[in-house]
Amino acid sequence: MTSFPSFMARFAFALAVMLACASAPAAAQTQADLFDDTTLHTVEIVIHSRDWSDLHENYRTNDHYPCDVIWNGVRMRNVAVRSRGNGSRYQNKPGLELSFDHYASQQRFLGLRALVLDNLVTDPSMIRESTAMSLLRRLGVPAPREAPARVFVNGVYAGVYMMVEPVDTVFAQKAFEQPGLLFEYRWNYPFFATFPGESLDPYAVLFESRNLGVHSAAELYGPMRELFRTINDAPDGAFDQVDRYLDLAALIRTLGASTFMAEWDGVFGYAGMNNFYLYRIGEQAHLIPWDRDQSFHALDYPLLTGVADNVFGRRMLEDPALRAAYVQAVAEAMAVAQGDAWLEREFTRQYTLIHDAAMADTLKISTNEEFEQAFVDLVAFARKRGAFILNDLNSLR
Amino acid sequence: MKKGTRVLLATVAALAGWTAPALAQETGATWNKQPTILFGEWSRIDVHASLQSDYLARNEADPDAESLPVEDRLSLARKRVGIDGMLFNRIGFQVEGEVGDSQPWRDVYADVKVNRALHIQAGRFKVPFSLEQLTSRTDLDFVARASAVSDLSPSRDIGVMLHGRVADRMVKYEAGVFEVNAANRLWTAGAERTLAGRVTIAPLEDGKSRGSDALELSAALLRSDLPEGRSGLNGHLVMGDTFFHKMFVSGSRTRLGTSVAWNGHRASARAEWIRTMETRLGQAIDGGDLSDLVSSGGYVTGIWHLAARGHHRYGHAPLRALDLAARFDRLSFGSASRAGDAFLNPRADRVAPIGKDAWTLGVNWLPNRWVKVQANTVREQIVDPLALLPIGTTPFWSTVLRFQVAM
Repeated sequence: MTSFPSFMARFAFALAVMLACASAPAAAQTQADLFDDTTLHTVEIVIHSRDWSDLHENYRTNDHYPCDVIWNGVRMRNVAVRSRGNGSRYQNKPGLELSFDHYASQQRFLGLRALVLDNLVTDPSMIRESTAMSLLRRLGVPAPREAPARVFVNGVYAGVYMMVEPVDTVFAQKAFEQPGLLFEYRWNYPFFATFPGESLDPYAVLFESRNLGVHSAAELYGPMRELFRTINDAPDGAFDQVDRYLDLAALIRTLGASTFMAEWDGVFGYAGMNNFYLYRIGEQAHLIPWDRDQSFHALDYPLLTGVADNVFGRRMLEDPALRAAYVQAVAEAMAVAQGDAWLEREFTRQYTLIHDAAMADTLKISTNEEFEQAFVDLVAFARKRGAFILNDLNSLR
Repeated sequence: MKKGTRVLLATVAALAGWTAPALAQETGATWNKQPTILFGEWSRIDVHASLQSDYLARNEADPDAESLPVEDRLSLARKRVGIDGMLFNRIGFQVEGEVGDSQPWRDVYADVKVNRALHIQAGRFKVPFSLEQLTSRTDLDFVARASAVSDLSPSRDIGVMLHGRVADRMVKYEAGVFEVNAANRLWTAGAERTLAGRVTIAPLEDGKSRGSDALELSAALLRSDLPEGRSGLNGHLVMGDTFFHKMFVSGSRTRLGTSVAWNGHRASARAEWIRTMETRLGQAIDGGDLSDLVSSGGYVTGIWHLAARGHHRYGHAPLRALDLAARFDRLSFGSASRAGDAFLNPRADRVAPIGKDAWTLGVNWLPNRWVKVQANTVREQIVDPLALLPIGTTPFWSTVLRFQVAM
């Protein structure tokens, strides 16, 4: 039986949603409003109770369920929701992906094909990824926008989530202003950029096509094979041949920022490459970062951890010009993060924004004490990471 | 060899061997189209086997099909063995299964003849509904059944059926009850059931009485209990890809079907139309009822028997039969509701209209009574007036060659 306070809470929420619907015309909303990270948003999902139960039961699958989504007075119908994530799959508070085009290929919500609701269960502070993405964007790296939200399902509070702009062809075309082919790197085994071989099959396993329409395996993965062939076989002194297949300047800028942020689950991850997309325009691919919830891992995380294990990283350091560019990228990220104490202020701003909602989130994986301690650790990182990094950086120059 | 296959083959062999001495009066064996063991005047067992191998020559729905090597284009579509027969001129039976299949059993039933007007059939067999579904796959005029038949018709289930011919063989009836869910057996209390009825009228004479297969008109009605779940009907392309996915349903499924078949010496024609209604009680995202899901489709087939001679459709070897066949079939999905926005999500009240039109052209060549070679080319086109599907509406072609040996 529903308790009276619970009933009142649902009634109050429903009333708030109705009032919001009445006062906020849909036409006034934009993507900028949706990803306005100065606001704690509210997202309501209306879903058949059996589907919501099945989604929890089958949280390890990608089964889609129909639902309506209400945000800021806009009700979007015909939406598909599914459980998402790799290591972040969690039954009590499933990560969610809202697909607006799953049931209608042309359907969009504010121009988006999908919206990720990150359950934040791999990060006790809940703000690592959003801060990391914010720093990457300040550095000019095309990175997804994020904004925090309280999520309600059928009127019941489901916790704090981070709304994440999905990396799909809509995102990529807007970021690079050209049509291309998008691939999501799939972690299947520790892979360190060795040459996977002549068969195209291993490339399809490592790089999942995220493209609409039909494409042959040769069209999708032929250039991918040439990329890894060149990474492995380019003559010493001519490693910049890789640039034909991979935008080296942009990649090194991203890698430098990731190194400053002590990202240990990225391209130079502890278990091989992970968490990125490649968007290929013609022959040349561009890296798009993804899933930065392991950023700010430790303020004393060594600068070159994992770099030499990766064929690309090792050969990059062996090339004097690329090595210098990498050092410069780390220094630039450090300067932007520490200038005017931006990183510490950003941690504090985001923490303050979600604090009350996070404390009320009984489904989060961490305790309230762990949430508070994680914030303290992030502030320490912001204050001390620069000093630690400078020593390593000087030895690399 | 899989356990199911071992059980199947052992069962077939045991039945053939075990029944023989028990029944034998004048035991003997013949080989006409297939091996037959005779047990006196009133009992016999026929041994059947069939093998179908397909070669995929073209499939525009798959961008990688062009680069497939020959070995990947070949498939064994069917490897079936079985026996059927008659005991004491009173009890017909059939046991048949697919070799190598994890669920090998196909037809497994007994059919007791009380008189011509009343047979009682029990076991696992095809639910009496669609003309083409009731036609054995080895006897089809095309490599694949029409989409409306394969996607909207029931296949085999466990049940009991009364059937027979009345009115001087002019009227054939079939009426039965079948189980819906193997976890809830037909004979248990509260079991979910399918009630099926089919009537065929054959008004022309075949020389002795009416009931000639020269002209047959049929109508069928099925009603099934429909457990709650995402188990609505779905739609497929001829190569198996799904273009309309299952919807959430609950309540009942009603099927209506009609067919007409005309068989001449030099030509044949068939047409069939099927309509299904599925209720969706309590399936809206807010728990309310949704309008009925409505699926319909049908086909028209024409066959020209090039090898026919005299008053017989078969010619001389090696052109025992050479047929040109053409078929148009249509399959469409939608809902009873016409109000509100049309969507394709599995809990949509108004379901967006989605369908498929297909033309199939084929050649069938039977060099002898056991071998059949078929070539089919199919042109399929998705019907999606609201442009909701990512695959678009550009027509695409597929071509399949089939080699079949059946006895």
